[in-house]
Amino acid sequence: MNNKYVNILSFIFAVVFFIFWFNTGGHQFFEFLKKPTSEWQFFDYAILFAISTSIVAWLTQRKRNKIKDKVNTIYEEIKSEETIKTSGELDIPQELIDQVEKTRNTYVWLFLITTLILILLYVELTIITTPNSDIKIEEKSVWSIDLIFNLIPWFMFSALLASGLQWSYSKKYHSVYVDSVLNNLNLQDVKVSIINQNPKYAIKKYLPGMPYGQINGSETLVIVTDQYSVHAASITIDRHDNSGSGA
Amino acid sequence: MSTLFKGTIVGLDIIDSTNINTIALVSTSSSLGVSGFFKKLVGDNSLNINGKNLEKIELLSSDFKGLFNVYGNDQIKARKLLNPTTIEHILKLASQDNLYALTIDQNYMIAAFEGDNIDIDLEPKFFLFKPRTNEGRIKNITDSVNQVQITAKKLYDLIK
Repeated sequence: MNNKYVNILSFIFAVVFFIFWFNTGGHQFFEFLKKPTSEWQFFDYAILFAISTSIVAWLTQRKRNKIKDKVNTIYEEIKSEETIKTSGELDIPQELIDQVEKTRNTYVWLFLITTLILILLYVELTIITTPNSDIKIEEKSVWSIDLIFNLIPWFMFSALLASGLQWSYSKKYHSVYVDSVLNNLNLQDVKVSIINQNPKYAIKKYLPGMPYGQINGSETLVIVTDQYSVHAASITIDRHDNSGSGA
Repeated sequence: MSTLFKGTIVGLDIIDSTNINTIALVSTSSSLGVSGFFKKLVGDNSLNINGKNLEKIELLSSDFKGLFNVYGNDQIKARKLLNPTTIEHILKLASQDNLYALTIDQNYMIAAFEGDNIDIDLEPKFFLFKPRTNEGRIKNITDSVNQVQITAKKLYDLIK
């Protein structure tokens, strides 16, 4: 099933679910929006988060597929270039990279902006009006510090989720980028690549004189020649100030 | 949290190596405050590397200018491996590239270099940071490759 039908079905499901939920007592949810300290607060939060996340996910997924296609196309063009040399000019067209760098951040900003819009919608609903006809329009909520506290966890979670998605997204395409550069290095009888390998096991096994602490390593650069193979990584060794030392 | 060490680890698998010895050079630097605990843990005169018990090798005190303590699985063979030419190369690695520790275990060598002389920074920046330019990123990658290749060659020359 392609993305178009998945999106349509997701949308229909979301609308049907909302109508069902609203008619089976969900309208009381808006009471919660007006008085967030009601007894069923946890359930309300869950519903609030589920609905908002579904909307955000649906909107961003549509955009993300377009971004992915665009980035993939760009990287395919980069891969086809064979002009990079360590000693010569680097000829990946700047326009291609500019496009990648622009689209790289689009996803996360889209996610955050959509989240912000939903938060504003929440504030709008809470302060300006309520769909419950039993509540008179004169009894509007007023802005209070409680609203801030209600919004912070939601916004923080959305921000963390967006950051995580963007991080994995940029890592994925970063690897493709580095691979494309390394594959194009014009080195005779030398193979260069990167792997995700923490050097801490080698350090513990072979370098007992190193300081004792938490070892953080970069990606490992691997170079294979006909005489030797090299694994190299930048590291830092940190120690919590309240812990002991030794190696 | 404090940083005890910042640098680069370079490991070398040598093809067709004839070396059967194991030696380890451990920094005598106590500025990081680890030597005392380390000595208590493993003792002054021996340490264990890859399941092998290494004895402290007594060299002339001027050989490594007090930079390293040397451990090996065979006193005589270790001294043979650490001939004046090799020691000179190691001292050059220490002064020019900030060699902090070195272990040679048969056909495998691993060295720790302190500082930013060899910079392997291939990670992407987080989205709040300004992205690197194309030229900067490719230069960073090629510089890393070149630096590692040069260092690997220096290590390789130690036992070849």
